[in-house]
Amino acid sequence: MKYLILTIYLLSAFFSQMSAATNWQSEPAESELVYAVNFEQLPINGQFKEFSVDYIAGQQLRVVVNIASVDMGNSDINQAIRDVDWFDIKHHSQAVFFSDNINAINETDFIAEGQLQLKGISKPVSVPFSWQPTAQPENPGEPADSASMTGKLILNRSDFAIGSAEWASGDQIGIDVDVRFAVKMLKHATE
Amino acid sequence: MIDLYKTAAKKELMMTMRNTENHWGWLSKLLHWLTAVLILIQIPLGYYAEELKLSPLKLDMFVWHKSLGMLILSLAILRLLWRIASTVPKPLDNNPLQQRLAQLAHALLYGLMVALPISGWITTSAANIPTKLFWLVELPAITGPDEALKSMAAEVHEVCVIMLIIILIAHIGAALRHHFILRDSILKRMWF
Repeated sequence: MKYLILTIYLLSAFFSQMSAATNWQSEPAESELVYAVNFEQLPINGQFKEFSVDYIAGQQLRVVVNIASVDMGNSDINQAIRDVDWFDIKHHSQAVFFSDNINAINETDFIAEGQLQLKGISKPVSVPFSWQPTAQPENPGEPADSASMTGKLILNRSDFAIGSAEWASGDQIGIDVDVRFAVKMLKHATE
Repeated sequence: MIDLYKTAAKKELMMTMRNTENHWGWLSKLLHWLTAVLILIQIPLGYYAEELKLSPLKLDMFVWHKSLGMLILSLAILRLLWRIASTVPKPLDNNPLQQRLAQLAHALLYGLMVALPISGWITTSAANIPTKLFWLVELPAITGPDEALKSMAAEVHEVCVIMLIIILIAHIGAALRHHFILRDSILKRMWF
């Protein structure tokens, strides 16, 4: 019995080591999270300057965005979107996307099915992304230690109550928000 | 027979289009009054849009303001070209000081009809705001995003509009004076 328990323990330890997924974290200096939305029928761009991405390869993706770091390249607009009608930054300074359901489409393309919590509202969102190793391993057989994670998706701002009633028509500020990200991911030591 | 009338009418229309030594042609008159109506809408519209609190209405009013502004600029350029291509009637006024003042006012009006739209255009470009004129035609940006330039151009725009209001009062006042006090045909000459 003792041996059986020990054997199971050793085997499970062995397999957990085998399947221990790689942890990746974003490198902020070389990452961008941008979006475009129509302003009187023409796109204007915005970006979130502070955000972090944690990814356990093939298993879990977590993105945390500091909404207060939003910048649309115009001081009046930057001020307006902090208002309660738009991002309501005073009450909701953070957005979180979490997925523990990563589906591989092929070797480089994945879809993370998860929940996006934005302005206090949580909605299911699929985030497609492509994953490309960017640094060559120093020794053959070693995994690359940096990768690029890129993707785009369209979010509906009304799903998250961004833009109050008077803006609801979308005639002046579009409803669809074109989100794009290009993130440099660095490999971190596994636990 | 009808064809003959048509040809004659066409000829007449072509003849009366041009300015002569003593008369304004219909093209100059049309452009003058069209511009007058647009400017009289444009100035209050600009102040109104500026005063509005941020709202869909405000954004729409600014699209109208920018659209009318570019229309006024196009008409001003057209008028300047037409002044060169056609001739300008001789002044009716014999007072050399008044002639000078009128000339100065007209030059300033033309200058402002160009300076106002362009300073507005720079403001919106430097503010990083895209514009689709009349929700139909994209107005290209003439500068990149630049907060300092935006403030400067907006200030020029504001000073120019105050100048325009003053000169318009003088221009309209002078026209009315000629019509009602001096009882000459200066105002009538500009009408159809």
